[in-house]
Amino acid sequence: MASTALTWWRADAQDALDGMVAVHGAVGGHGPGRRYATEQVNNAYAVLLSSQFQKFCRDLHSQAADYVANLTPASIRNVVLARFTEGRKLDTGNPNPGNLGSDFNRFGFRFWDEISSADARNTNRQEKLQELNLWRNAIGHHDFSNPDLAGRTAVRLKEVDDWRRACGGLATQFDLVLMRHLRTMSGVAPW
Amino acid sequence: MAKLAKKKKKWRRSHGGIVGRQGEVRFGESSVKVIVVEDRGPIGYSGRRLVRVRFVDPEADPSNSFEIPTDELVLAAPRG
Repeated sequence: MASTALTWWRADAQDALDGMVAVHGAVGGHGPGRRYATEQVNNAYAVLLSSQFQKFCRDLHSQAADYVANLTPASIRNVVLARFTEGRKLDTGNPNPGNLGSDFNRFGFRFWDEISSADARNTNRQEKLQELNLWRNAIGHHDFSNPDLAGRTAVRLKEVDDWRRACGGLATQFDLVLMRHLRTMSGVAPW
Repeated sequence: MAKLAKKKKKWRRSHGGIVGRQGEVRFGESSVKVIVVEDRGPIGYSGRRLVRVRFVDPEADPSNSFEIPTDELVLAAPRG
């Protein structure tokens, strides 16, 4: 069974992202005009991917926090849920590895250590997530001065597709690792 | 998925306009006044509905918000 967040990611988020791929394919014409238009679509696709992944991560965190709060006596449940969710970096910041670690470590484990050891591919996925958020910031703030962007001002469709696959892999792993951790903590699977 | 979408739609209809409304939530023995700043939807444990709220107290940090389930929130009557 999957968390509500992962169910959403696999259906609604993919529909939204597929819509951007369809727009890319629908851009007509030839030459520089078409290239400029597709570059804008690709940049929008990258920002959308980051925002959809952010929603998935926030929702997964909320579901897990609410689960943990429900393990506590009724008189303190609201306090526990409030403590888990106040000052959460994912509410205002990008879903970059640093923010994710900061928020998910609240569940009493070293999040990225667990993710890395769960699947050998996750280290590479984490790097791709970092790249995605680097571009998301550059596009969102229209500031392409970061040397890691190598002077480019637009992403390629293939790159965004690659990041999307990495986010998909991480989404499944986040769900699984958190489920196992909460099951160990409580004796019952949370989803 | 259709079932989840239907559930969301039904919930939105019955909780329309919850953002911006004030209410009270219990913290142990006392109640505190809060204002709803975001409708998070049925994403909590077992599909519980969550909202993000902040304290009404003018001395509280306005950027300090947190989540609570709607079934723990006693909404004040809407003004007007």
